[in-house]
Amino acid sequence: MTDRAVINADLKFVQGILNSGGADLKKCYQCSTCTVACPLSEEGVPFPRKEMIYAQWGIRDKLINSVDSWLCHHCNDCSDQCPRGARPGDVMGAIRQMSIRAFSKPSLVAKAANSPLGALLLLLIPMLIIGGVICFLNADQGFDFLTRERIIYANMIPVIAIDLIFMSAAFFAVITMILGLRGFIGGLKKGNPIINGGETLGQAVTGTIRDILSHRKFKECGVNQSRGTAHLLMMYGFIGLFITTNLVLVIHYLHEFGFDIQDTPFPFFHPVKILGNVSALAAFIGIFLITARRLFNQGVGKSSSFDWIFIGVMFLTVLTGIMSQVFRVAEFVEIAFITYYFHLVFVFFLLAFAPHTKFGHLFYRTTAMIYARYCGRSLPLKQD
Amino acid sequence: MKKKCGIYICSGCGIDAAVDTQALIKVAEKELKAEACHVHPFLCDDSGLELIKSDLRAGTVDHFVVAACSQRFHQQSFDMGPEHMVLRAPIREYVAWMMEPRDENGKVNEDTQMAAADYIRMYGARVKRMEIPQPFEQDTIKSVLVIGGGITGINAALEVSKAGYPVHLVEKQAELGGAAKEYRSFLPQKAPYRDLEDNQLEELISRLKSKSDISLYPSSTVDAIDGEPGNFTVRIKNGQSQKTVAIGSVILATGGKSYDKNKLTHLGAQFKNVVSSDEFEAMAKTGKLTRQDGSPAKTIAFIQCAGSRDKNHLSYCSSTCCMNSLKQAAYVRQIDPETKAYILYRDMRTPGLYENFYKKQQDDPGIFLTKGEIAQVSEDGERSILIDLDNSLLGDQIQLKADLLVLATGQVSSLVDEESHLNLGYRQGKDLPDLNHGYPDSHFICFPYETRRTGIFSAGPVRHPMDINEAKRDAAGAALKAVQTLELTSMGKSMHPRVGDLSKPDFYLARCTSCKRCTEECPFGMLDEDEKGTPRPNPARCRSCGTCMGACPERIISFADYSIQQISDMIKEVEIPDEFEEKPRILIFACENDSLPAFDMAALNRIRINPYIRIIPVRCLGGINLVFVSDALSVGFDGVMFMGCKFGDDYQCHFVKGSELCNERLSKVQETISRLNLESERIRQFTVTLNDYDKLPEIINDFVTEIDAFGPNPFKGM
Repeated sequence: MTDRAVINADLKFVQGILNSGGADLKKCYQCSTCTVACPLSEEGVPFPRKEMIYAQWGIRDKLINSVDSWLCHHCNDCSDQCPRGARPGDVMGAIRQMSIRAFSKPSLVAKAANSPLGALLLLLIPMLIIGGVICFLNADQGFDFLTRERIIYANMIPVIAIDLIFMSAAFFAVITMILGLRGFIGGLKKGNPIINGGETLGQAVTGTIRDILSHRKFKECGVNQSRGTAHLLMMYGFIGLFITTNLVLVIHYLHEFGFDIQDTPFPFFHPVKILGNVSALAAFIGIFLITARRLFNQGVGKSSSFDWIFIGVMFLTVLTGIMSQVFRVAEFVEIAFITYYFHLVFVFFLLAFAPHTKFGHLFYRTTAMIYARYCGRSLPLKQD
Repeated sequence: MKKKCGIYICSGCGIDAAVDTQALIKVAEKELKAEACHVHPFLCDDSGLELIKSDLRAGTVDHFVVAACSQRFHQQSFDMGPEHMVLRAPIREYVAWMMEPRDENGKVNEDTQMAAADYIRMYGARVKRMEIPQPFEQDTIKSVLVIGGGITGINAALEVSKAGYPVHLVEKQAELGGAAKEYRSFLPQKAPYRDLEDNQLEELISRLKSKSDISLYPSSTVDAIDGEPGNFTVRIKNGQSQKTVAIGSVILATGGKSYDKNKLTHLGAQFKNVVSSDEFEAMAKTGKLTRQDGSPAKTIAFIQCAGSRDKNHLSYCSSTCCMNSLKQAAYVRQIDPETKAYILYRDMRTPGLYENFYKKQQDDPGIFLTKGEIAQVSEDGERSILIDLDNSLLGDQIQLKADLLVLATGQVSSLVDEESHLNLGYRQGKDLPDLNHGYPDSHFICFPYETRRTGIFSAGPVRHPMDINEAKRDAAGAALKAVQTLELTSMGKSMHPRVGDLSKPDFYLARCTSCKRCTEECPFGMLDEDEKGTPRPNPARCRSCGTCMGACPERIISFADYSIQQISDMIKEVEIPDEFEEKPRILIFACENDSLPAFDMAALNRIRINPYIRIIPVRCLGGINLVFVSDALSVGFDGVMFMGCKFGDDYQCHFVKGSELCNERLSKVQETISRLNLESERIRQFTVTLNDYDKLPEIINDFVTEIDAFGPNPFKGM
């Protein structure tokens, strides 16, 4: 037998990439301008030239296990310079998408979460659960939360019910994430052997977190500087909202257990309220910029349903969140409750299916970035 | 009849700034005894030309020397009609523009003036010797023979017919169409060059058959071609029967063939499931792509440059196989969208707008391309082929598996390893001479369709590898050349490269020794021989280069307007200063096609040149007779330079062998020169092409310095 790498072109996988945002993939003629243009590609371990030919040949293993595709931050400097218009940046995005889809468990959920129709079906789950709970809890009181003096969302659905529902959703997300990441890490190890000179796991983790918080990699981009800013706003907005949610949770239960503190809804100048609103605003501006850029195609390639479902749900989550507060304060009773209901639905979708949608890049990319440092990716990899 | 010679000297274009033209009049009147002699400030304008023409009308002058610009300028202005010779003494370029001008006081430089006077003498002497060439006229048969009924042949026949000349088309096989019969589709033919075309052969053949002036000879071959352009006799053989037809010119369109796949055992040619592109084309035409056992082939690999660009097989690139494989990959995808096509190339070469077709094929998700070097091809059982690829874009050492492997073989001329298609009755052989790879010898870019047999043109893949589109264009080009031959020949005019030249060599056969040098050396096979070996000229085959004139040791071959006597007179007319004046004289023979234009170019750039040189243009260095050397040395020239084109395998000679023959002759004369106690280095040949113009001063000065070291020619003044 031979020790040569056996290559078997996979037509279906190629078509998968073509349909996932890498529509111009086949135009590449391997001149390697992209690799030279890429501000993140390092000497000795270049990308994305080799990913382009692997993708043209549909070499699945090399692509979904590649750590390099996760080092790309899709700034599209390469696509800007590509003489053939093959848009390597978008192809790298498509490869990451294929990677998430490949490792997400159960794969049926992953498939559904990224197709328009499937996503609608999955949305039905939180709609039915939350709607069901609301009906169950309020049917005998005749839905009197609509007629009370003040609009208090907890009257429609108590915090404990929300917590139970979202805890289960989070539990599902964490389990599927662990399953997905297990496969992913296995793939990374297979595709990118550890070489001497890598960082320790601790160094790798802290280094990566530093990179993410500072958005250092984004800043190296040439043509797409504003993209980093949008993503930064978005990310910090979400972190703020995440902290807000948890603070609210803690305060609420402290109140329940008899501590003398202000329960929700907080007054306008409550510190947690301020944090929440500022974060929501940041997230909104971020997601607005991202959406606008994609819609008007500013330096971004063709967005696939994978992108749009994630961005759309994100956008709607932030929007309904803000509007819930606006309608509550404005005392548009029915509209306020309906908006809040949908806010819960979208948050559920975002949370439960995080590992299956593009939201999963939070885990996958972070893992890949840590692994890249850990395996000594900045030294030349052994070519097979 | 005594010639009445007029000498007309132009003082414009800066000539007067370097030369005392009035002084030249004295040379013309006193030494040359010219019947008329004038200086005019602007000889090529209306008043200047009127000056010449009034002398012509008055009958005082019938032969003219125009001492002005080089012979390559104002040819039509100074044309005084077919009955009058006009010679051009190039005092503008080679004297005024390249030699020392007058000094600040307006005094002419002595050397410059001597050069100008010498040119007047040289041309004044030569014009007296010249005769008006009489055209060789014959009854011209204005029809064309096309050999080969493929795409090229059919198109050539249609083009000739369209131009209004009858055609005889001979095809070896019973059916017309040649290689294209097997094609499933044709390459893209029109903008945007992205889509394949249907096989249009049937339509083409029916168009051919509808033409009443095209006679078809299927299942036939050409058994003999005798005669010369305008008057060939062709014997066409069909089985046992023979037919003789008279034609005027020939288009050889016998096509090409694929390189023999079976020689490519290093690419697995011996395995089952390995086919050549021809075999694959035929398979694709049936619409079923299968392995040898009949099961469908789902992965089909193409190896490019199979045997091409390989010193063990074909050393050249056929330029068509890349497009052909892309076309066949398109078949693969048309026939079954689930089937994959791998194309393994060294370089993808899709010239011109074919790039668009390449892009389209590349866009197909089922066509997989990678560069790489084939390390090994092996068999995996009965049903699969394994291809080991090194240095591929996909990795250094990879292996691919295919159900069917197609070897994209290159093209070979049909003149290689085949019976003669022409059977010429020429003394130099029955086939066209070839130079590289069996392709007919001609510069395929500069002089397309030309062969070394006048009136016989090659077109299509017989002359270099090409595809159908190129072959069609080629057919049209060759058809025009064939028609041109008929017309020019009927007027007794030469073909390429001295198109329109009426002069043909005259043979004073009474003094011929039958040494056969001319019959052997003629680059175009113009001369046949009788049984005693005496040359039998076929003037219409001649291209007037004068190689025979240079070859003849008896000096019995000459042209009316270009002869040994005329050149010798020019040599002898140069005034040689005696040895104490320290003014050496160097004679330069410059080929009119390449080296003379280099002098013109140098002059246009005002490049200063050694004032001791005198230039004599020759039609080709092949016309250099050794008597020129002895003449030059005996009158006292210190050195002789021969400037012509590059020779050898990548020659650039318009007349194929001229510079090579000159070189050979000079090598033989060196010994004689040494015997005369002269340094053989005084005689040397140089390769000077147009783009060497800026090196001319250096080449000449180096030579002069070297000659200076030997001291003056001892024969000076004798």
